[in-house]
Amino acid sequence: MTTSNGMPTITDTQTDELPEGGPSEGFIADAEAVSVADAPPELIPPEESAAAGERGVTAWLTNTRIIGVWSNSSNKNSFINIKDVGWRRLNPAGENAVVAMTMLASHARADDRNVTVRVESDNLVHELYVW
Amino acid sequence: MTSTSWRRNVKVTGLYSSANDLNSWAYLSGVGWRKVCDDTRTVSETMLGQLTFAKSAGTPISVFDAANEIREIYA
Repeated sequence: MTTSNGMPTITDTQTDELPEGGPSEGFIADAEAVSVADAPPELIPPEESAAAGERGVTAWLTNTRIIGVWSNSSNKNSFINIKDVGWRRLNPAGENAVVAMTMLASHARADDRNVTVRVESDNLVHELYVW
Repeated sequence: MTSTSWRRNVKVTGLYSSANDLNSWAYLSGVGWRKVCDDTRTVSETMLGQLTFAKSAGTPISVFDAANEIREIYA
């Protein structure tokens, strides 16, 4: 269920759960076991290179927007609503990582900025660029 | 190239974070990607907050760039 403005509502039972109206329960994989290499970013801002954003990898969502952010009182339970894609959970493998990605996503949402997002087959957000 | 210097009057034009803890980066105009100091979680999050503000506002900032790591910020 969502409110009239499309944002997810907060349920009475504040558990580690999905935003209402989101994917099914099977959506959440064992995120604790999922990680990526501690590596520097590979892309550069679009204004720095016309080639930026052309990855040709289906897991990369390039030049898109974040149209919603959601979290509740559960630890590491932060979701973003990606335009034309829907709600995706920020990988909860690390506490600092979730805070950092939520901060970036909130900035992108507030300022309507282009983002590049890597969503893996586990439906978790593993990397987030904001331009 | 590894260097230690103040980067003055630069803008944050990109931000990056991944699913790894203490792995946030900022793209400084004319400089490139620099890692946000990862000494502690609090340091990383407070500095990322300042860099996010600077990017959102388009404010030029000065940062101390130590071996490609941002260790001090004036915004």
